[in-house]
Amino acid sequence: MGRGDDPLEAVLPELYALTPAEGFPVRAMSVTRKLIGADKGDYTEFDPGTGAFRVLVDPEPP
Amino acid sequence: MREHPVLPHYVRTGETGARMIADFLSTTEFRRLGLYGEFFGPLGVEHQLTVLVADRSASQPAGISLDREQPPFTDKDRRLLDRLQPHLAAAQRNAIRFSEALSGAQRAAEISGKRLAGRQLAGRAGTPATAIDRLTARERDVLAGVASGQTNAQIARSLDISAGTVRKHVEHILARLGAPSRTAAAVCHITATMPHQGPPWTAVLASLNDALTP
Repeated sequence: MGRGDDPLEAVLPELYALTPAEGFPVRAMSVTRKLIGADKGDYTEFDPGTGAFRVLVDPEPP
Repeated sequence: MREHPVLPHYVRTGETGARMIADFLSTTEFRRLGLYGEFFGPLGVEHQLTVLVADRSASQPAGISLDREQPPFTDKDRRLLDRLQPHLAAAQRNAIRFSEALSGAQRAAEISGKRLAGRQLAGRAGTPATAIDRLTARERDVLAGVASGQTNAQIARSLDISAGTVRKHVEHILARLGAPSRTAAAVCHITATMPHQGPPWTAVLASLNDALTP
């Protein structure tokens, strides 16, 4: 597979495009789903100290 | 969420690689979970592939899960997600640093606004106040170097001073600007020195993009 055929390389510019932290879940999910097909996706933030989770199902732009 | 078969694994082990629910539970075991009855089942989720964006040592631990009814995820999907993981982690760090830079610039702008208002109330003439006015001439030289992406050693060479002196100047600059990082200080410099050269945020964003993208 040549470099131009690598699906990962194709999505990296979108992933690294500058975005504030609050917009990152949407960006990360969009890129991940372009690489791997799925019915839906979840972005989960967690606090290792308390064990608390926050799940964003198919996160929308803030 | 303690019943979730994958997320506690990441918290416990500190691993970040791609994992499937099928790595931990058989289909029968998965469907016996209360979480399946309440959450996965009604949503039609039979297969899930997860990767950690940032582990428990990061400032914002997080993970991404992909859900499917059918077909199951493959080892090819897993390998692709494993290759993506370090980029997700780097991009998240960039996003956090960018937000810190924006908030630092915002604080500096607020300080500038208050100082300008104070000067106007006192009836003083003079140039518009900016956060950069708080700096000495030497500190402004150092900040210009920081904003151009130079290391302390490079700045030291260009100004013919020691790297230790540059480090002290940078500490003073961050304190005086109320900036949490060198990047935030660089944003202050750019916004203060390019006020009339087109939309300033265009230049700021372009500069930060270059600085943050590996």
